[in-house]
Amino acid sequence: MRVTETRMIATASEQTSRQRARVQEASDALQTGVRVDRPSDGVTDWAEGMRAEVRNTLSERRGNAVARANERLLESDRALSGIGDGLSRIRELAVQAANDTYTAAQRAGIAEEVRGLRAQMIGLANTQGPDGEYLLAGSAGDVAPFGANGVYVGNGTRRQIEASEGNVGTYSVTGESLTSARGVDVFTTLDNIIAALNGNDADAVRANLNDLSTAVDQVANARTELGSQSAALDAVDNARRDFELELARMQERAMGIDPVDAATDFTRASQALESARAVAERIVAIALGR
Amino acid sequence: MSGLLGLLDLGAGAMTAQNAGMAVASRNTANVNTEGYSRQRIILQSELGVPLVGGVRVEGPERLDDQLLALRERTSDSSRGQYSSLSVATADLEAAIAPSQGNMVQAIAALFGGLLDLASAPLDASLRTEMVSRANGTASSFVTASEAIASSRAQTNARVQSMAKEAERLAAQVAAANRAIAVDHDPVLADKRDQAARGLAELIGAQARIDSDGQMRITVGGGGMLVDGGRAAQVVGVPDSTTGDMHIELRDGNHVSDVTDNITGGKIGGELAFRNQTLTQAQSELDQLAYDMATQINAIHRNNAAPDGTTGVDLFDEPAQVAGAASAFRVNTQVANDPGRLAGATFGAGAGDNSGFLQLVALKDQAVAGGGTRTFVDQAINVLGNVGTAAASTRGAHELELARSEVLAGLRDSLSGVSLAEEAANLSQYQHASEAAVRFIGAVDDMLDFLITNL
Repeated sequence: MRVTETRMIATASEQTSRQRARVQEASDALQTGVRVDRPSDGVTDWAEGMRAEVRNTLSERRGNAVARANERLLESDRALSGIGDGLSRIRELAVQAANDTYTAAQRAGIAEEVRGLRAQMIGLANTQGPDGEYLLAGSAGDVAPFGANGVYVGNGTRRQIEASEGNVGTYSVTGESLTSARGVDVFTTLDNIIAALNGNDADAVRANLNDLSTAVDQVANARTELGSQSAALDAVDNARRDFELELARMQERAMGIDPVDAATDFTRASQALESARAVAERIVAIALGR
Repeated sequence: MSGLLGLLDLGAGAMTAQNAGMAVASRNTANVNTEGYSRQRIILQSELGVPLVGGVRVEGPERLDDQLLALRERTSDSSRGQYSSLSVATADLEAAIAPSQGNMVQAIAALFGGLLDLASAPLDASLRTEMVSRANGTASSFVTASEAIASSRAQTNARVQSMAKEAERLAAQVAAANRAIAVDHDPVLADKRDQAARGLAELIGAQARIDSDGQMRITVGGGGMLVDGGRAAQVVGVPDSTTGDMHIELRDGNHVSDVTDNITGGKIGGELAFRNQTLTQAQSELDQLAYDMATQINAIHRNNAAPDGTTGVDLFDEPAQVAGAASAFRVNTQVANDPGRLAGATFGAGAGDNSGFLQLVALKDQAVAGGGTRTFVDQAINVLGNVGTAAASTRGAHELELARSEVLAGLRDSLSGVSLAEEAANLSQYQHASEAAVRFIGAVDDMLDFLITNL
């Protein structure tokens, strides 16, 4: 086939441009580490990478939710711990006051201390989270769950969150743990003891000791439940971290470069460019008659 | 005596022929880089005479071309033009609606991420504010994508109109060349006509033929006559009165024909295909997704209660219809102005109830988009992926057409291209032959001189 110098030069020029673009592409991939940046770079890989990115984004937000739930459990546990301590102290005082040798004045003094502890416990039962929500109010978190009379006005709805993909779990306790729904009504029991102490009625004090023990157990059970939930959240959170690492790897596999392949590609493209340049120079020299 | 004078004629004819050869070789050399130029040659024919051979006669110059190859080139130009427009426009659209950061898929993920967060602390004012911001971001991503499609459509229409003007100019060139060729057989006129015809093929997918009268006739879209001998139709871009989309009309006197639907090749064909298929499909899918998202999310949100116990409102402005849903995608003003109106509680369950938010969160895993076949995220990936697939396939097709054009250019060059080495050899050959003719004339002149002097 007849080939003119013009055609040879044009072909050499096109080849050089093409190889230069290939070198640029390989260089960009090496520098950015990205092989698939847009859908047209590879629709399947891009879609896979985007799905991994979306799952990672959602997982990170679940991580926030889990951290928030864990903080809520810790705050709730701190409140129940204080209430448990108060109940233990009241039981000690009640056991002492049940002794027949105690005088009315001594029982009145104990009643005063119990009243103080009760007030503190009401305060603890109305503990609020950083966002102002009453932690033991169930889903009625905008209202203090325990009034001064010790009556629970919250509900038994417990907070649920999506802690992992497709898995909604319950991670809270409510003030119901301190009511007859779970055994005895703690604050009614305390009111009964205070009344017995004020009435200097040792028998009545003794009669309420069992309820007091039940109340202590109720609080301990609620704390155990919180502990289980917290342990479950920790496990979920650990799994989440591993999951996010795997998702990042999935995204990298789908959209990133293989460093060895990319370096090889860059080297090949550079060599091809050098060859194209050498051929172009030779063709121009021939055309110029050198 | 008369024989010697005949020899003088013979020499003069030879010199004229070789000079014509030199002129053609010089013209070829001068036009080595002229686009569309076809090399020329002269044909030397022997002249019969009595009693000797009657010398040499020059025919031409003739243009070295191949009309079958030219036809294949025009067909290739048409396809190359079509895919050139398609690939550039589709790549631009992809860059506008599917950037690697801040695209629609990521915005939808951010929306559901915000809901996940808010479900863990529904009374947290800062999370509510952040949630509204994320909802705004999601809505903005749809509006941005929709605006990009609208802008792309406007630019496509502007390009179509501008290309129509260029097509009209080229058609006028072909007609002018036809008129000139009717009275002048200069091969350069045919080159210019071929070049303009190729331009028309690349621009509008025009089909050209050269009839037996030597006149080129060009049609568009399988019927509309663009150039008929020395007459060229006007090519006019006319905006549709309803949609604003540009139509192509051929106007010849009082005869007007709309050839828009028949143009399938050339850059204009590519632009029209991009506008009518790629853009329309992308807009339709985007609107459907926006509609599905807004209506599905609203259906849950409006049935929930805000922390103050009031009735839930729509989270997004409820779209009246699918068409235009993406460009109208906005957060309900009441919610945008007061994040406290975000409703995530079941009525009567208390302000801290998050069951409504959990219902919204669960929506992310449900196949409620794409006609009930995909999740919102998967459908968004599908919408952007379709544009990416179109960009990749048109890019591939364009590269194929470029390769085809290169092959055809090589074939054309092998026949019509000017080789400097060849022309230098021809020039030298004609020069030597011319010098020989001069010497021949000189010898005859000497002989005549001798005879005149000695007789």
